[in-house]
Amino acid sequence: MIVSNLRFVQGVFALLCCVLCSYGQQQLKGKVVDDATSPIYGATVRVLRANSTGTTTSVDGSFMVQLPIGTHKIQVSYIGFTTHIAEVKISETPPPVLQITLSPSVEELQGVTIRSKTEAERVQEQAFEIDVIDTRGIKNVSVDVNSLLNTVPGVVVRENGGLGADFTFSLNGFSGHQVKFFIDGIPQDNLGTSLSFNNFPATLIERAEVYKGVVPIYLGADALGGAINLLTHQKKETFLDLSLDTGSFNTQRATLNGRYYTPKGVMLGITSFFNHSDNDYKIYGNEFGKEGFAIRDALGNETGERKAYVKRFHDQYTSGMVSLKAGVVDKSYADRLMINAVWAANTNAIQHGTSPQIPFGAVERKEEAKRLSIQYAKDSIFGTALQTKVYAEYAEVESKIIDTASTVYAWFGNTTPRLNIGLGESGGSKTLFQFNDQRAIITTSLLYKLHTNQQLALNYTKNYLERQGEDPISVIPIAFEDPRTIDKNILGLSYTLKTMENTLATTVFGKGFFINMNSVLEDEFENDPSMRFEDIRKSYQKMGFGAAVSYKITSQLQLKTSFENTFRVPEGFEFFGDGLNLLPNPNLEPEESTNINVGFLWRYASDAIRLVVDMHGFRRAVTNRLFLLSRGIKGQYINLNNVTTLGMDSAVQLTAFERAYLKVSGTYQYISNTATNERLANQPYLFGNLELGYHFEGITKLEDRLECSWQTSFTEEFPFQSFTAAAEDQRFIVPSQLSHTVQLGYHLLRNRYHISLQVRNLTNARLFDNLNIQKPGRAFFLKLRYYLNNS
Amino acid sequence: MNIFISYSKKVSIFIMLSAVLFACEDSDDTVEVDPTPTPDATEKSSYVLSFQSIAADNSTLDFILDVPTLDALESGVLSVEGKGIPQLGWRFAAQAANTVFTFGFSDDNKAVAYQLDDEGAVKESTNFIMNNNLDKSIAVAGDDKLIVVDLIRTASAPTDQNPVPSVPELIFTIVDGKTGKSESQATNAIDNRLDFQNDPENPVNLTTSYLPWVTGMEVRGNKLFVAYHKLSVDGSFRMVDADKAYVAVLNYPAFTLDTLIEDTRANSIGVNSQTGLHQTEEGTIYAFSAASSNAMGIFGEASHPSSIIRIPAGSNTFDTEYFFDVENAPNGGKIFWMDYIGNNKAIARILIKANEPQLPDWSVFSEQGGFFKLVVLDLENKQVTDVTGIPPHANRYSANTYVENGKAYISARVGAPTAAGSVSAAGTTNIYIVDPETATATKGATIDGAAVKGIFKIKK
Repeated sequence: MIVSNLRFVQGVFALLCCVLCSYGQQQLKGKVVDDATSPIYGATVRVLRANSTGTTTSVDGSFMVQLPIGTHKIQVSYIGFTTHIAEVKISETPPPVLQITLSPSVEELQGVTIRSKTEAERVQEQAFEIDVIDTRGIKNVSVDVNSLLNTVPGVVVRENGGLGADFTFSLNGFSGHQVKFFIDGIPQDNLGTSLSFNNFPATLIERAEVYKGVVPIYLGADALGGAINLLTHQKKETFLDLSLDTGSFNTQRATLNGRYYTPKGVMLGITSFFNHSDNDYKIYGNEFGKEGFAIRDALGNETGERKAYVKRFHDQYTSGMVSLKAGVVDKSYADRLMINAVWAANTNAIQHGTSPQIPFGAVERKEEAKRLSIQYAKDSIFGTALQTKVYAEYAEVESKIIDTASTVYAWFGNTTPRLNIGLGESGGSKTLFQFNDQRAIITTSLLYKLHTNQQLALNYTKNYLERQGEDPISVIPIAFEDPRTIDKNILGLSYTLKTMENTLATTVFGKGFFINMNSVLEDEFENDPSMRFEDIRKSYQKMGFGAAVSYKITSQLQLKTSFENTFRVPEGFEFFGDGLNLLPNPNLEPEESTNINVGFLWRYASDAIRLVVDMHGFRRAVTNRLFLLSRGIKGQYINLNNVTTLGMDSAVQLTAFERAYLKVSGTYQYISNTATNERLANQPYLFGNLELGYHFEGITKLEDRLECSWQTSFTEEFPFQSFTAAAEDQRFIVPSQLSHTVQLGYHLLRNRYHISLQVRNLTNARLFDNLNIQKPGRAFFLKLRYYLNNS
Repeated sequence: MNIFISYSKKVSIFIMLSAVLFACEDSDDTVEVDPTPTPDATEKSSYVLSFQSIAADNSTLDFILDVPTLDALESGVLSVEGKGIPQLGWRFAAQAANTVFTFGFSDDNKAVAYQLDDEGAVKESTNFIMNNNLDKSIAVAGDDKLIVVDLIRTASAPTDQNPVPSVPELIFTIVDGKTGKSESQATNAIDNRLDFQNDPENPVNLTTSYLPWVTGMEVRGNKLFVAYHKLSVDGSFRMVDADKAYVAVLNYPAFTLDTLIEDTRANSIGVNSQTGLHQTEEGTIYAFSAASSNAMGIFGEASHPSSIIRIPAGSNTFDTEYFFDVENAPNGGKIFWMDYIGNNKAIARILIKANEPQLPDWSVFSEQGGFFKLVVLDLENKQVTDVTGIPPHANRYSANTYVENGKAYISARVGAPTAAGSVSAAGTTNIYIVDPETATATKGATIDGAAVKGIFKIKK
């Protein structure tokens, strides 16, 4: 009775207020952003008074409410963020634009879970087929970006060993140069191996986005099968993040990441990593049904004795990177203006070639990369609805192969002198071959909001490479002593429309690929010196296009479909050859692919559980696929195959009571020759991940948290050469692998101190991504992390 | 359970006993070679093919495939679907005694020996690692040995031991067909020349300097005849002084140099590797030389016609009386490949003249294209006879010829050249059985693949 009375009084009071104030209403405009000043779309804005009708923010985070004169409380909330209440005074004069910054809800976000939340969730709800990994929980454990990406459905990272080893990344059946890599939207091709993703500890990354088959225009590249974009720390906050990591095989890693903002908007930043591992793990021969390694005599014959395993002895990897940033934020002329200088280098001892049966003892690769860049971003430039981003860089990469030993190494230390003094270990002449690459990139993106529900985007990327090669010890003129250039210009235009109360989102886009190549080809059989070198040029103009549509049937269920017709222009070596055994083919055409995705995203949430189901079916039809043809002793790339991939990948994530989670993902793909329907070998076709985690909170009074998780990865066996040829017991098989990783993490003082223990390959299984090349056995890692910020 | 234990005990005793018996046999039996083995009902034999199949991505895959009888080569389909022993990478194949060896190429320096097991099935018996790798030339020496020479294509960089560029010595490995093992290694420079010049950028004169590129080997008694091209040291296949034929005569098995001989009437011998020299039953060594042809990979001023010359039995010099101008003979042309099949007859593949101008560099090394016609060469009477029954075709140039009952078994792929020279569904490969007496070929088994790179017969 009392309650209803009160309500009645409140109602009358509110009504009175409305009546009294209605003559003096003002329009309050506001904008809701997150810590990184990125707009939050879909946040709920409520005026805390009776009968208030709420509103939600539009794509650019803006909202508008009518308010009477007086003081009001505005409540802004969004899933994954702490609810914010702002007090505003409305007077006769129009109020200024109210900026509200939401902080991520700490309670919700500190899981070891690979979670798609907040910004990640937002990105995932794009019409594009995309998987997003939020690294918030991962930062505290010893993983690099590659192992992180390996858990994404549809993705396989195949490694040739331990830390720093060569890897191939494959996405829905595409691999190599068909998938393009970006960091903060900047193409990473031709930057060398010291900046490849296996060097980046996950600590340095905020988020990874995996675009499958259909790539938005702001990632400007000739990606045939998708793109990976890593996003680094962009929040406007002063922080210091230090981590140290030590483990098996003398693995040492360290990261330093820090930003300092002055009150006047000057920013100074440093990001750095150091990695080292001896990679001296045991490998078991597994030489086609024969266990172990043969002990051989001086002539190389089997003695009949075998040793069960050997320890890798020439596989050390060391890499380091320092990136310095300086600039200003939130100025009238720029939201962000930054200069960035990066230096990175690595040294990679190579243990063996294609077969581990014959070890190398002195082959090394060394790389050094230097990069200077400038970045400019401004929303609503000149007060218009035009958003501008410009990036420009110049980089130099030096990569060297060192193979000069005159020794034939063996696993058991019984080295013998090499009879042919001209040869190195890796199958050719002794070499100190070196590539010198110069790279220049310009990207410009413009985003224009025609209306709150429509936007137009334009992106231009120029990626210019000049490559020169030299070998100081070679007697003969070698490949690329004359520089060659590749100039890729990619122009993209897209239009996005949201209708039906934002439930239907459509993006259509077109891309223009304008690519020029230039090289000097040597006709080695021409005796007339003036005729011997020929300048060749090749230009490609191709138009690609695509569309992505998403429809929210209910607030929980979203349907997505997208397609793209896209191209990959041949890389330089495919086009120009290597000057020795790889013949040039000036007539190569770009690879072309039509990629189609159909999928749905279903989110269910109750007080007890949250469930996210993401399922995706895909089809890729590649024509003109490049093929390395051997012609006698020479090889040459040709356009030969048409390949069709049909597949399905999906992920299910269940969170219970904000304490426990389970994530399961799986992929099946069928890759076949379009003409013959025969399946392509040496491609994983069935693989998945399972992850379970639980955390305890407040064990002591030190605002602590204990997390534990278990992760299992599985890849079904696949044949190396053919599904059908050869006697079944003789067929080369990359065996199925099942590996388990266990993690234990403890965090103290609201996430300031972290300590984590990780056991990889818990069962010490023999794991192979590639034929006969064994990956590390059981390994332990301990990581300490210190994180301090000013919030 | 008990039955099983007692059975396995018996088996292990039997195995132990036989091991002892065989070990004893081995120790006192070293040179028991029966030149005319009497037909034995229990003797097992098998035809072993170096088989090249086509993978789903159109690359070729090498296999060892055995078939029990000759009939299987004469009709039906030969396939590695569910059969055969897969090989890693592209491989050479050769036979010595009752062992078929496959040798890796380039950075794969492993050799695998295959023999028949007690059930008559082909199995890997052992393997060995060669000291070097890169390209190879392989020759059969006597009844049970192979000589494998590792080839290099460029002069070597200066090293601590050698402050100036140099041409490394060739490395000869003797492989024993009875044991399947590498028996010994020896080196010999054979013939090379490095001319230095006063140019810090290019210290070596690449126009005149050369190294030996072996194109054929034959052992006769205690001599090893090695035919070679003088190849530019710059890694190309341009020949220096291509208008002479060169043979190095080495003492065998010491591998010391006896003498270098040359013949100014003919171009350098052979094409690329291991096809150039052929020995008759009487010990006459025939050599063929190709003519300048970019399509055949013969770059250099080879001014003579494609021809055959010989080193008579008992002699270590060229027979100045004998010259067989194959290019200008009736039915003749440029020889790409040749194999001796007995009775002073050889079969050869001759480049079809009309094709040549359109063919790019190295193109006839491709697995598909109607590049060649097959001919029978009467070496004594210097006659060229076209073989009927086999259309214009392509085939692996180092593939051997298998001869049984006077008939030659070869593999050939028929079909128009594809745009880039790859294999395609439009081509088919068959075994052809060639009768040298009638110069006719009969189409034998169809190959579900690209090529048969070698046909061998081994016994247990």
